[in-house]
Amino acid sequence: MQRQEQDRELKLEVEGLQKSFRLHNRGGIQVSGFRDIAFKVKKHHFLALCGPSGAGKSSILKTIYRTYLPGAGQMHLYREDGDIIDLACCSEAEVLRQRREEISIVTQFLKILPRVTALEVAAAPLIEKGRPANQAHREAADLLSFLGIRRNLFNLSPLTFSGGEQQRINIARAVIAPRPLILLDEPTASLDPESVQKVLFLLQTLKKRHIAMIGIFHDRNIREQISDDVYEVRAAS
Amino acid sequence: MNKRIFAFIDEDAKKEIRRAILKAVAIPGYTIPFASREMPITRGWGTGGLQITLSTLVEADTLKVIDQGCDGSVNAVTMRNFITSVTDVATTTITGEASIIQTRHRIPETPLTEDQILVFQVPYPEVLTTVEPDTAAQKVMHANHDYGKMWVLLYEDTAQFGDSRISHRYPVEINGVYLMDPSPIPKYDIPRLHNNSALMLFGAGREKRIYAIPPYTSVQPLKFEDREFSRETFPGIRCERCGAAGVFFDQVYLDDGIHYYCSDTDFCDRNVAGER
Amino acid sequence: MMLEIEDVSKVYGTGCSDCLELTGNRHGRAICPRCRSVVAVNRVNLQVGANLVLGVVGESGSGKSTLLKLIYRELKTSAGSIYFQADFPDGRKRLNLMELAYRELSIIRNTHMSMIYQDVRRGLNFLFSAGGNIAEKIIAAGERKYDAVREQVLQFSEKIDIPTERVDEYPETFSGGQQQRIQIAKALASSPRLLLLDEPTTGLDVSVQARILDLVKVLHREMGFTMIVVSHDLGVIKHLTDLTVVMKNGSIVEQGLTDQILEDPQHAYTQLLVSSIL
Repeated sequence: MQRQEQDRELKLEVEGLQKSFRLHNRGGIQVSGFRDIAFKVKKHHFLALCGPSGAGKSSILKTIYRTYLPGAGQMHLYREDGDIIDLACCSEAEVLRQRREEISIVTQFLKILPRVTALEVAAAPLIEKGRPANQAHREAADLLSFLGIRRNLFNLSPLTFSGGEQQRINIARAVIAPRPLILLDEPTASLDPESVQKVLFLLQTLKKRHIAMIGIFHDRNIREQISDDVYEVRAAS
Repeated sequence: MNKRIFAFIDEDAKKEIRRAILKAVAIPGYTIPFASREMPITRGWGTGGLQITLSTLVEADTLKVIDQGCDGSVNAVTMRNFITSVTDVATTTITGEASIIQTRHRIPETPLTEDQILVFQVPYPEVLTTVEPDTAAQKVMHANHDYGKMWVLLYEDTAQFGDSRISHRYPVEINGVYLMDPSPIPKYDIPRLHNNSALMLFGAGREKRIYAIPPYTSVQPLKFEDREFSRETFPGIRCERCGAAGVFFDQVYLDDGIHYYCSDTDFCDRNVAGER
Repeated sequence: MMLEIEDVSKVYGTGCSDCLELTGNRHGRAICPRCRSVVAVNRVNLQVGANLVLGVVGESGSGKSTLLKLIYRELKTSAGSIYFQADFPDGRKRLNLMELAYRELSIIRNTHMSMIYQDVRRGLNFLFSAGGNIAEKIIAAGERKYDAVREQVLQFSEKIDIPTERVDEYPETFSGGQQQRIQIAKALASSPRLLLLDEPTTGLDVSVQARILDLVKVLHREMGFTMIVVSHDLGVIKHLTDLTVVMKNGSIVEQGLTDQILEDPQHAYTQLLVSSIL
């Protein structure tokens, strides 16, 4: 598929997206996740998803990342190389390639291996991109310091950290070698106001680097500071 | 019952053994099963070599029998006496005069010729036994030139002792194909197997196997490319009897210390007689 | 595709014309009601791309280990083909593993494909030292210089955290976790393109387990190879794999991205499996 002239700024286009869960072990009942979701995200824009809890905001992010299988709809990803991929129906191998090259997700919870140090976690995306390990570690150290992680924690596993510290490691990992599309599920939920401002600053710089973001913030004030567009998710009946 | 069969073994059995020998010559280094007859000596005491010698001898042959280089040791003498008692062939101790030499664990110092056959007595014909006890698996490994485990043995010895610990029965590759047990000859004799002018036949009576190295066959010891094959050396040693140096020596421990003599008694005798 | 499994079945027993139709997950059984043969693997189709990590989960008797043995050609399929694509000195080839002769299979196992067993005694030769076991693979892959073999043995021993001064000791002098690490080094010493792991951490202490999994992950990142991990432990699958296949009664009931299988399982059996995680 070739890109239309007016789409040059587009990163992701979601149309008619819906998701429900069939629970086989509860008599096969169908639980609705969300439906009729449609939005567009431009490069260097931040789209905020809002709506009551239980409306399916997190589920939408997980569906874009394909941790959830979409029930219906399209999710066209406009790749940096000009190709357009429908994340809703592409193969698993394609999804893995997008995860390597185009999309990353930041959740509220840090999902990493035990025994890997904070510095290694933060530096890993750079090393994957081919940066020499010592240089990657230096950049990771700078970033962690900026986010207020104390140096004596660098060589410990983040799994021993507080919730707020873990969340900052998570953010550092996402922004150190940012993918063109970043999905953020309440990335500031357990951060103190000062850290929130630092995170927002980092996200602002990402926008300048033409990174598109879709995020969920419960705090309306934070949401308004960072978002360019807001998409209201209504609770599925 | 006075008419004895020439060379003890009946003609049908000789035919079977000769066929095994022919097959062995045709497939150098490959062990051929044979029926291994009862001999009037115990299995494990040279019956394989004996059966090859008896099946190969003709009236015109001249026989030499050595045990670790010596014509006069008990095993060599009784073996020679038995063979002459059933054949009347001429015997000799002089390597150059023999047409068939049966040997236990040595190759004579005097170079052999195309007119000679060297018959080895073999206790363990299967080179892979040390690393793979399963005979079916051994066959598959031979068939597929799969000798990785022998290399591991060599690796381990080199890692732990600096060189192979194998002092005798050193594994050799025949014609770049089969790995073979050369019988318990010392490493010193291994290079003599390569490109030898004589036909070399190997018989294992207890294990019922015959194999062969035809004349002028490539025989290479298993070794790493970046390691030399080292054989026994006797720096500064001379035979106390004939004064020879650079040969394989017997060490004789006496009350007054260690004495060295040529292991090959014929070679030593020639020296003493001033023929060299 | 590095590995293509096409309509592969494995039947133990006499087998009959209806075996495959009458068994499998659809029927909830692996034993043919007509001829009583066991259908361990029932018409499995699977493709694995280069450098991916595939997990195979399922309960005991689901056919997952049999599938792995078929790929390693420890067993032959009753029906179907397994194609393996790899680079050889004379170019890239796509080989049907079922048609390989012993020697070709040896070359594949010595240079392209390795298996790591739950039981280290199957993967390690206890008559050889730790280093000898590692050297066996390096030598089998064609190295004939002692110094090069030794250097690689020492390198691998460092990689798996076995002190180099202990490398000439024999496997029984090492702990269970160390033995498993030596097995991993042996399997990887020939730089294979495909690594098969059959319950690699089952039976080990939890802490030892985690260390083994970390090691496998690090080596995968450093060396780059395709992995197929068979485990009944979803934790192992989650830790290691990109893609997951769920098997039951010899058939694949569901396959997908590992996080999707764990967070949004579609099939009733997978939902049961996931909800049973402790």
